[in-house]
Amino acid sequence: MSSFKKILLAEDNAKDAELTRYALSESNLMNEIVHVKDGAEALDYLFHQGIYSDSKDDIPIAAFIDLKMPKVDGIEVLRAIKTNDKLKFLPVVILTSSKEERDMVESYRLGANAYVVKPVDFEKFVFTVKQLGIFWGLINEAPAFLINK
Amino acid sequence: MKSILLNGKNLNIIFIIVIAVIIAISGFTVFNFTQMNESNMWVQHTDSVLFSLETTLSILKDAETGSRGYLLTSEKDFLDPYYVAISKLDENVLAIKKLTADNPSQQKKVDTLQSLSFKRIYLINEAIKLFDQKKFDHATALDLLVRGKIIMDQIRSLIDRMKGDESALWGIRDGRYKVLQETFIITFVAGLFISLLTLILIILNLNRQIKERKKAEETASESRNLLSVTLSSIGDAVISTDEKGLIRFMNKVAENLTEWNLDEALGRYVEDVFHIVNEITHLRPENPVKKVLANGKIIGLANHTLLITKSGKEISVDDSCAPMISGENIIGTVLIFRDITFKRNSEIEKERLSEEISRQKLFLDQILSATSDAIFVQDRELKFYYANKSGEVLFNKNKEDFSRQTWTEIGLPNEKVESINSITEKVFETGLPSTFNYTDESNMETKYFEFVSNPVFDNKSNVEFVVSSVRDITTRKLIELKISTLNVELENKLGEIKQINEEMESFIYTVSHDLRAPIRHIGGFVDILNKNIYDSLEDNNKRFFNIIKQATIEMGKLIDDLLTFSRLGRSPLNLINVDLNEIVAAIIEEFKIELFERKLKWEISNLPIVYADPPLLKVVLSNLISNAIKYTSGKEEAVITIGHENKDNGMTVFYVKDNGVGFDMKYYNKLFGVFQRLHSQEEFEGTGIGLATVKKIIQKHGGNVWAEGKLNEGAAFYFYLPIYS
Repeated sequence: MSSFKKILLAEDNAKDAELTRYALSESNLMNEIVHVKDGAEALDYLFHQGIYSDSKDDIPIAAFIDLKMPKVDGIEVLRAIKTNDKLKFLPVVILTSSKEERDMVESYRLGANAYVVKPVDFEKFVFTVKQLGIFWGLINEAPAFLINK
Repeated sequence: MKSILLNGKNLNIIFIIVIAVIIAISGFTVFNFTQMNESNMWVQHTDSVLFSLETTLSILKDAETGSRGYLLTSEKDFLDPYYVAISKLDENVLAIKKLTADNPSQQKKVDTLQSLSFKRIYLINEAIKLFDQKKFDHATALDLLVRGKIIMDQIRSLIDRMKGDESALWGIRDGRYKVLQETFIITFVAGLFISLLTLILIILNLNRQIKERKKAEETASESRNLLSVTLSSIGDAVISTDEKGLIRFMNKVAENLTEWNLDEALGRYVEDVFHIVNEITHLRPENPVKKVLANGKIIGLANHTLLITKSGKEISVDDSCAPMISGENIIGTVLIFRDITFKRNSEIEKERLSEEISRQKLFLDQILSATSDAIFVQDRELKFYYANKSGEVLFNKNKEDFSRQTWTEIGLPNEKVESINSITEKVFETGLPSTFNYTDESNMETKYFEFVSNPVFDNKSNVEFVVSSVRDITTRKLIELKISTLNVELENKLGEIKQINEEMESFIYTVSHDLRAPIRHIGGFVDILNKNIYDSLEDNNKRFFNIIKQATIEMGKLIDDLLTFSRLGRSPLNLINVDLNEIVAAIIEEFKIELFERKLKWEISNLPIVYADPPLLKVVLSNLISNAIKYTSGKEEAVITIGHENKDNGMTVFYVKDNGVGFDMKYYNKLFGVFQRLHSQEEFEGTGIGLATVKKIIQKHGGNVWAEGKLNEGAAFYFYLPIYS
């Protein structure tokens, strides 16, 4: 089971995080979901710093990042990932409530791999998150160095 | 010979000589002729004497014979001759006496003849007397006979002598006559010959003279002709007069100008034909011919003279008059004049133009002085050529003060003069306008002036002058200052508004973002809860779950619509060519699942390509179509028509019509309002933002949207986009 890489979920809203977890669980994914509560924690996790300084080789297979987060927002996290030589290969899915054009444009400009608006309708939400999980967790192939280390 | 003949004096001498000769000859001939006649008369005189002598003798013989007859016969008839003889004898002898009165010897003889004759007659008479007395006897007879015979013989002898004398005289006289006759003939013929010769000479001479005169006349006529042709060929009119001012000649031009014929004009006073008046006063000036005749000097005509033609036309003329002088006498004048109507007209035109120019100048000055801008014109030496009234007022100067002055002389401060002059010089150099702002702080109140210098080109595109208009822009400047202050304030305000707007946007963004999450959470957890406990729930509770779920869905939709609507105001239009057919097809495709169980007829005509923002246009049509679908949901046979009409004004109107529930036109004003609904949520669900969004998008495109409806009969929504292709 350790061959299943983790999926990073950066979401400040605990309820959203739970619903997302729920939706992902509905898709029967084997991947472990690492939930961080803000951008700062996400960066700690990704750059193995702070409380995550031990987990040296822990790199997720994909990162689902909310835009609006305390301390460091999603855009900053995205920028940090995409400007890092090693991390820039990590697929980043922006998972947000914002339908704003400018958010979308900015995200793609910084190198986001997908931009998904969370549907208000829960059924659609579950469906959407399940699709994301299946696609990024199972279908999409990541470079070997991301998986094997 | 010719030279002598031509010489008048010689000719006269010759004529005198010739006439003297002829007179001499004639005199001589007449004298000769008289002599000859006289001579002839003497010859005839002699003949008469001889004849009378014979007659005397014959009378005496007749008397003798008659007496004898009587004596012999006593017949008285024989005495007739005797009586005749007695009556004739005296007469005869007297005649002889008269004829020979010049000859004394003959006179003596005549006396003798007379006495002898009487004697004889006496004897006869004695015999007759005796015979009648019968005393005549033989002896007496004899005596008487013998005595008679002696006397008769004496008479015969005397007559013979007298005859001899007269014959001798005749011979002399006849000889003389003959000589005279010869002389006469000779002198006559000689005179005749001389006369003839003279005549011939005269005729020859006359002939020659006639020829020469003819030739001279021809030459003269030729030169007269040449003169006439010359004068006629002169473009100017020529009239010549004699010393009294009577017209002797006028050329064709003069005839044409005056309208007088030469024939009519000849001999008239020149002023009758060359009738001139002053152009302005119409008074006759002194006639130039008279003046010339008076003082013998050439004169020109005063200006502005009109010639009045025969028919009364007026022609501007220009003339001169010169005397014709022969020796020291003025023998006439030559008047030369020409039609200067054209010249005069051009002079008048020139005068008119000059007047027009001054008028224009004045006009221009007045116009330029009507503006409050000061206007100055400077030449290349930067001296003033013109200044208008405002310019004079600006510097408190007169027009004359500006004449050929410079800015320094007008009293502009030196540093300003330098700047203005350099600007003016630049305009002269480049031919381009230039502007210069001038601030006058010399007074309490600061004044602002704007100098605008423009080139004035001559017809060779050289800058001849620079015209500078100086405008007092103090008021404008103050307003500008005020405006700029206001602008700063306005910008500040705008900044505030922008900030407020941004805050508003941020607020909407936050609200939508923050509201979505709770709604999603409610829906999400209710759903999970529902799944976990649904089977154990009573029906009523199940219904509550559904109501909550439905409410969250509506709430989510409301938020989404609201966000779309608010976003319209902020995002710019991205206009491109859009195929409406494709958009409509895509929308209908999206509704396919929803319409699975509906019986709906689409009537869609071919739509044009429009110039619009595609996503927004899709929102418009999506709203209109979804409304049409929604409000026909109760219809058995729903029909939705989508199409367009080309209006007369070139506008293309699109429409979406349905035969659904429609609406009451009395609520039309609420139709496109935000959150306005004409139906209850129970009848037709909806947020009341759709048509407001449609209106906002169409208006953002610069178009318009409107609708027609009738309750339970359907609705039609129209819109047009101003730009489409």
